[in-house]
Amino acid sequence: MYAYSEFDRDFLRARVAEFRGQVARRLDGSLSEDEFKPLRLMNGLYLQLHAYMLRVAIPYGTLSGAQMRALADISERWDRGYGHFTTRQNIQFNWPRLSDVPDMLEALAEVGMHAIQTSGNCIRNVTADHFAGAAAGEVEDPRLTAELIRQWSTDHPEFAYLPRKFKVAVTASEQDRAVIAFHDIGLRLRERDGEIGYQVVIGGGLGRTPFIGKEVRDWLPKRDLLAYLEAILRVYNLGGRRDNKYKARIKILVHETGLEELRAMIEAEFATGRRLLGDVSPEVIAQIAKGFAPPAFRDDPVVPFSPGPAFRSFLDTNLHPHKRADHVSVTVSTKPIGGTPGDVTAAQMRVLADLAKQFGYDELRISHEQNVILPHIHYNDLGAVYEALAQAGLATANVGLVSDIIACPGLDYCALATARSIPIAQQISTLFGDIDAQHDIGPLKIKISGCINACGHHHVGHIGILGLDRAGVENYQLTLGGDGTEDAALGDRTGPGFAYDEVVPAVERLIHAYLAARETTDESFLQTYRRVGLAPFKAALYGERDAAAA
Amino acid sequence: MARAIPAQVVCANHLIEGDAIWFTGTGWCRSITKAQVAETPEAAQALLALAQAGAEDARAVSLYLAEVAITPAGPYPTHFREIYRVRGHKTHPQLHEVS
Ligand code: HEM
Ligand code: SF4
Repeated sequence: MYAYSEFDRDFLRARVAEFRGQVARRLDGSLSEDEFKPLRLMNGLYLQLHAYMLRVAIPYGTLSGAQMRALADISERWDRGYGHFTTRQNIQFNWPRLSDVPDMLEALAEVGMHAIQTSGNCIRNVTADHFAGAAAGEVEDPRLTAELIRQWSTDHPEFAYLPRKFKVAVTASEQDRAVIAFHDIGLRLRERDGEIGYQVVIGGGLGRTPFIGKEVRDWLPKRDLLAYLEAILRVYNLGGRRDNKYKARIKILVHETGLEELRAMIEAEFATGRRLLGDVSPEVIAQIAKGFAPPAFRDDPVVPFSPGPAFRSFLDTNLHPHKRADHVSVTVSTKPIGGTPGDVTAAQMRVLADLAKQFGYDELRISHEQNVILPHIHYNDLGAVYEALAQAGLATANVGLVSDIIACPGLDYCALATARSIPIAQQISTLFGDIDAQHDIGPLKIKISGCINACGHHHVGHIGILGLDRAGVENYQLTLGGDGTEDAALGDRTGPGFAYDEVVPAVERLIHAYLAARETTDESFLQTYRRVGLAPFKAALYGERDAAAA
Repeated sequence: MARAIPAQVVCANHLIEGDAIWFTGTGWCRSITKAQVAETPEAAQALLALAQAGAEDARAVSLYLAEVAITPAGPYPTHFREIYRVRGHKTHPQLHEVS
């Protein structure tokens, strides 16, 4: 992975020292809360319902074993012994004391991690396909691009006060596992005539007004990447609305200006900017590439094995094809039945770090689906890995199934929430707890947000659940048919929402309606929905008569 | 039990701990039952102003008014968001003991 240079280390040390000073001045009263709040947010520190929350970036979702172990230590020393992995490849600590945060940041800096640009109206942590560098079918490791963007965007003075937050995601395969269509900028590496370049998509987003990103360039030569990104950001920085924060994202600028006109503005800016900003120096590219050189893969011949039933179902759902036939990527579900999606205890983090070290070339990934990945595991080690995971309560065989739910923190933590989301996830997971039954239901993505901000990606859930406050009561709106992949689609609203006690039974009715409607056991929920449409699901939710009226 | 005009209390987070605290009229406490209640909108604004005036010294941040009902045990929130705040975090009891 990318190795920090002395420059990077000095930069981080200076940032920690600066924040330590700011906290000290806040505590002795020389900074007021109004002065301090933007400073803490720049360092990833939020104030939530019951406590502070420190959001730490995991750039492009990549962690080493040592970094995972440091996260475990931090969670035990200064938090409550667990961390929460989020849809943006961050980890959040939910219980720090303000006075401890500088020490936490210092411990993070020791392992080359930080909380910079995890908040505020700047370019946020760049995310990437969680199988980057491991998946079959990639034209190049997308983390090379993500790292270049990280270096360019960190502390970029021109883009520190954008109209609103700005999120970039990168993928390098035809399957989009990085949700690029729902980012401010989505980049897809592609190959043309032996050359590698980018497809550039802009203006995607979720939240109050969801949009699928639009292609602004079907081909951008690699060397032009930074100049083109600067052009997009410059046009957005000047043109994005600052009068209304709900209309400030680039998606609104794209929508209000129109893609054609905006493209012309970007291209004009690019033509000038590219002359001023030279090509990225080959040394920088080479330095980055060195950091992502593939590990020295083991060559042992694969020994066939015959798994027992539990291991068998784990193999069915939790593996992803590797670019090498003798290796595989293992997804470790952070969604035990009835658990909180994304929460991992310190002890579990250490098990993952050990497994990475012993069997996984010291590499770990965090996915936007809040799971942890061991990207490179030799087939012969699968049994040992599975055993260790099972002992640590990390072997739930549910990846991509009904209980592999994305849920935002909602009203159990978040000050912006209008409803709870974690307990809904826990109840759905418990209801469909039986793993065999889950395997029978097949691929199904349920995504839950506790307010309209859509941190839980509900718009792109096959079943999306949005928790709202309706006249002082929690109420849950359902959407169907959303898709965050290369076949991007926004979910369709089913009709009136459901009360807290009614929403889980409603989801159960949806799943039964699907089981009744599917043509074969191979037809997934999403495929069935696309074939039969909303009507049978509405009938299941609201009854025949109400469905006709709704 | 609830009165016709919604009564209000001032709540906030503690600067260092970050946890929920309520204004007693003279200081801050961690139990809403001891919170000072304002029964008219004017009284609520005055209470908030009083709380704000001493907030820096008391290390109270992120102040706002929350509606309450008066119960025999003292004020208790009417809105679910504030009820959850009073009850404290619930989804993770097994992880909650600080080790
Ligand atoms: C203190 C907690 C949080 C706060 C205050 C917060 C705030 C917000 C806000 C205000 C938005 C809407 C932005 C806009 O459209 O302009 C948003 C969107 C989003 N947040 Fe969060 N969030 C929090 C936690 C999380 C967590 C835990 C995750 C990951 C699980 C997350 C991931 C996202 C994503 C994916 C979006 C939607 C994508 C987008 O349009 O940017 N956030 N968040
Ligand atoms: S969707 Fe709303 S409730 Fe959930 S984390 Fe985001 S801001 Fe908080």
